[in-house]
Amino acid sequence: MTQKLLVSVTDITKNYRNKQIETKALKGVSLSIYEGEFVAITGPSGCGKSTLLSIMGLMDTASSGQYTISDIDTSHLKIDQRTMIRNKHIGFVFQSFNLIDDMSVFDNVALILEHRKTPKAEIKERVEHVLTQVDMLARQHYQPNQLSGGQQQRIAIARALVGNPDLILVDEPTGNLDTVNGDKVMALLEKLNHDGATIVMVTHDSRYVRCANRQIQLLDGEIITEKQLEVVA
Amino acid sequence: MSLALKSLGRGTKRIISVPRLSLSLIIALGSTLGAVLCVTAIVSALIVKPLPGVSNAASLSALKLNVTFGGSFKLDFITAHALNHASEHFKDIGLWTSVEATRSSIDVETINHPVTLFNAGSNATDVLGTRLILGDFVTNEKTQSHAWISSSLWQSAYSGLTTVLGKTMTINGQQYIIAGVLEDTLAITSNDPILPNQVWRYSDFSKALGMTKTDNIGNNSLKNIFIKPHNDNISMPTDDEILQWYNLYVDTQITVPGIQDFVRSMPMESSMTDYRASFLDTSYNLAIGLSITALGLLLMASLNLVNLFLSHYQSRSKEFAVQLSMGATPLKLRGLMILENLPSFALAGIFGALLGAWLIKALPLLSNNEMPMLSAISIDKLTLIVGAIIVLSLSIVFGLLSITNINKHNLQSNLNSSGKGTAAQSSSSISRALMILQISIASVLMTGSVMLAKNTYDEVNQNLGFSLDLAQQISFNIKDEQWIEQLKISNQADALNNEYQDFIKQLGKDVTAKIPDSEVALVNDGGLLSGSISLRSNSSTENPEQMLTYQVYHYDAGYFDALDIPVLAGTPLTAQEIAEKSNKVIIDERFARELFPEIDYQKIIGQQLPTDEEKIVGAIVAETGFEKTRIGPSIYTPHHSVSRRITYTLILPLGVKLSSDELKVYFEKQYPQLELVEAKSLKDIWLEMTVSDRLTLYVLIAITLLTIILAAIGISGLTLMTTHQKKYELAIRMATGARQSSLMRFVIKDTMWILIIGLLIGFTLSVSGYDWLKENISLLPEFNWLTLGSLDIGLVIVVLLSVIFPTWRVIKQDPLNALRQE
Repeated sequence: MTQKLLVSVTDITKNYRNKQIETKALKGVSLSIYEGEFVAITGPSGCGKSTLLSIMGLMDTASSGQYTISDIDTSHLKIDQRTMIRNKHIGFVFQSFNLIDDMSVFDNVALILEHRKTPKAEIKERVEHVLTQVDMLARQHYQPNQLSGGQQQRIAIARALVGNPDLILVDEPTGNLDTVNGDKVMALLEKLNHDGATIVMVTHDSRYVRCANRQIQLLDGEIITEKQLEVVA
Repeated sequence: MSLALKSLGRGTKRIISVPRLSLSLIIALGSTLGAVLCVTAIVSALIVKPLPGVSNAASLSALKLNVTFGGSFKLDFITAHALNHASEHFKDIGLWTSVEATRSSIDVETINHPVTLFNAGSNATDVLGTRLILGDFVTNEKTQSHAWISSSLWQSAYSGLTTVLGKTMTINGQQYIIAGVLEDTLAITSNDPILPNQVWRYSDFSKALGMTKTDNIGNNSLKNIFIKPHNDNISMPTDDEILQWYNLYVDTQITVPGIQDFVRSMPMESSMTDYRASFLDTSYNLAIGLSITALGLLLMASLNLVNLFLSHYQSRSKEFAVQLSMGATPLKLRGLMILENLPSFALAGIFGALLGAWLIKALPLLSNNEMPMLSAISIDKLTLIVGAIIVLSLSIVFGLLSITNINKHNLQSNLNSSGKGTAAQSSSSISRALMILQISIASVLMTGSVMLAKNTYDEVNQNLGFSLDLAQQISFNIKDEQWIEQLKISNQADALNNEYQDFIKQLGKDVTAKIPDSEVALVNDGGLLSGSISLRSNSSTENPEQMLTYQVYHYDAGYFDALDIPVLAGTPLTAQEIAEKSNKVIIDERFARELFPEIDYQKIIGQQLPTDEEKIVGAIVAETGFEKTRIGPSIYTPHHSVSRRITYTLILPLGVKLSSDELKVYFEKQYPQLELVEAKSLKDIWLEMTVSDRLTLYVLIAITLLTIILAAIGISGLTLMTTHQKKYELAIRMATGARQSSLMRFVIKDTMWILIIGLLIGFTLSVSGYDWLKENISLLPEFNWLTLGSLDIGLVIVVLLSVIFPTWRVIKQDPLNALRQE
């Protein structure tokens, strides 16, 4: 069966200018992501992997190049249009979780659906479903600061899942976790991918690269290698 | 629950959970809003809304015609006689009338009701357009026997019953039949506040022309002259036409030569203004001045709050970035923030409305009842709408500011920053610009309020020319008005007048006998601090065509010594000289300067008085009295002019106070023809007289302090915020060997340019704008560079302290922690 192309990144560059100094974070990166893939982007610190993920998540704009997701060319979109695509097509999991402290777990997860103006009953059903998926339903009324790092990351994953996105972008999901919690989070991501989710993960932890089925390695803003991986059963 | 409701809920919780923000908002916005609402209510009642009881106000004109003395003293010229003459003279123009208001009271079924008594021309209701609620309009036949009451008096004293018509009431000892009920009329100029409980008495002015004239200018003058044109196309008389009528009236109607010459010797001023402008007079300027001040304070408070909110939003920038990354559009997020802010703003609005209502209730006290239409000033619809617009607008503006710091094109950078450290520093430029604006406004506001405060302070603490310390005053009223009227038309040589002079002397002796240790009894008509002045004119002995007008003070032996009034030359008259009717007179310094220019004071002694060849100058004394009544040259005479009020000033030992009740019982028993009015120290009387000025001074000091506090809070808040943001940089500097003192210098240096630019703008605006303000607000005194200089130095000190304290707090809390937190 032929896989459907979900994301197309063509010759993307990203330059940062600070006074007289220009830093080239990405230098003409091109890649494609197909539905159902689990792609790991790796590389040393400062190689541009998080920048690439931000551009793919429409959280940042490229200096040049073309980025298409679900057949939508995002190059010339306005802020509100980009927001809409982010809301409907992309789920983002941050290294530092980025949960809102004075909202309950349920409200944090429901945020995306609330912005979509989803009916209340459906929100409840969807949130409870994803919280069950990440095994956090029992904590739905907790505040984020009452949870451990691993639990917070699972909530962040639930939040990314709740809108049924075409693409889940995960930035260093284990960066702030201990080994036990890191393993649990990665097992969860693997399961989600197994269930059909398309995941792009940035990591510099080589232990978890094995969970992906493709690895893209960046160095100094350029892709240096790209290889298919054997999925560990 | 929808996101909107959740935001409202979070906003409500925030009132308790984030007190630094919500309390600052409620107190700063609420208190300034209270001031704004109070001022709006004043402006609404005085300037915007129809004047109660004067529905014809838009078409009415008001005539002021004064003769002036000493440049500042104005005497109303028009009497009922003159009004009727003018009315006949200008009969083609329209209807002329007058309404005079005084305080009085009536008894209804044993309950005493204080009322405002209107004495008006019989056509006044028609001219003003006052609505009749019950009964009949006035006719000339009813003017002597009938009176009309106001709606409020009808309701409060007669329970609104229609049977009130035909009932009788006693006003100042005379009985009147109630003929009708009129709407409350509050917009009449008066020295006393106009009460809603009112009684109208009418006079047929057409009879005034046939009446005997006293030719006594100043007595029985009418203050409020109104003209209603026959139609809208008719123009009011020009100044020249008024002058022509005035000359005609003085030439043909003032028959006593001395009075005619006296009137001609004094300059005449006339003005024809529209009704509202005439009624509001200085209150209009006051309302404008208050509006500018209140808006300035609101602006300052808003700028402070903007900084506070920017700081708050900055600390939540990560949360906003998460919301945006989860699919909230910037517009939606701003909308949610507006909703979240709404409960705090609503509470500030409620607090402001309550404070405004309280300030309005306190207005009679704050304005010492000097503001017109006090009972009509209330939180009305317009005031509430203005309040709601201010609260909603600020709420919206503050909500829109929420994601100012967020880079919408690069959310990741916001997500990676927690609002701390170097990334946050870029957002402080708006705060700095706002702070410059705030210092500028503070400088301008304080210039106005401090200059006014200095002027008021000088007024309260003016040199009266005599000592208040040991002087006490006892005043009597003579009950027999007929005796007084006969005395007024008698000559000084008459037996009746001698009887009056002897009576005063005898009473004075009894007063000193009754009050132990009182050294001297000094007599003057209304008391040393009386605002009324006595003027006399004489033609010059050298040039009979030239009239010399001067003030007259009355004295007894020992007067100048007892009151520590400096005698500059000669010797005041002794008791024996006074008794022997010596031809020596005492003049003040100004009299000496004006009538004996360039002659040494010692050489003036013994010279003939230019106004009376039979008198010679016995002594020259310093000027006395308070500035408002110290308007011309003065002369002292032991001969007391006839007055219903007799006042004795006593010098008592330190600590001795007069007992008003005990003296009242004693003297009213000994002298049944007298009524004891008051027995008080001059110091207490002066304090009562200056209560309005002192209140103004306190209000101005409060405004100045509020301005300083708002500026200090704003600057210290900004400093705290920027220093916190710089903690990372400070920590690096510290780690590399910088001492705390050098960190302090670094922060102060960073803030100094804000202070310098703010003060420069404020200074420029104050200097250039003051002349413009002075033209529009007559209350403002002359510009004073010394005051402005002191003010700016004060502001610099406040700003520096506001920078040093919060900076020190941050620096001493180990900035190296910041490095570990980053």
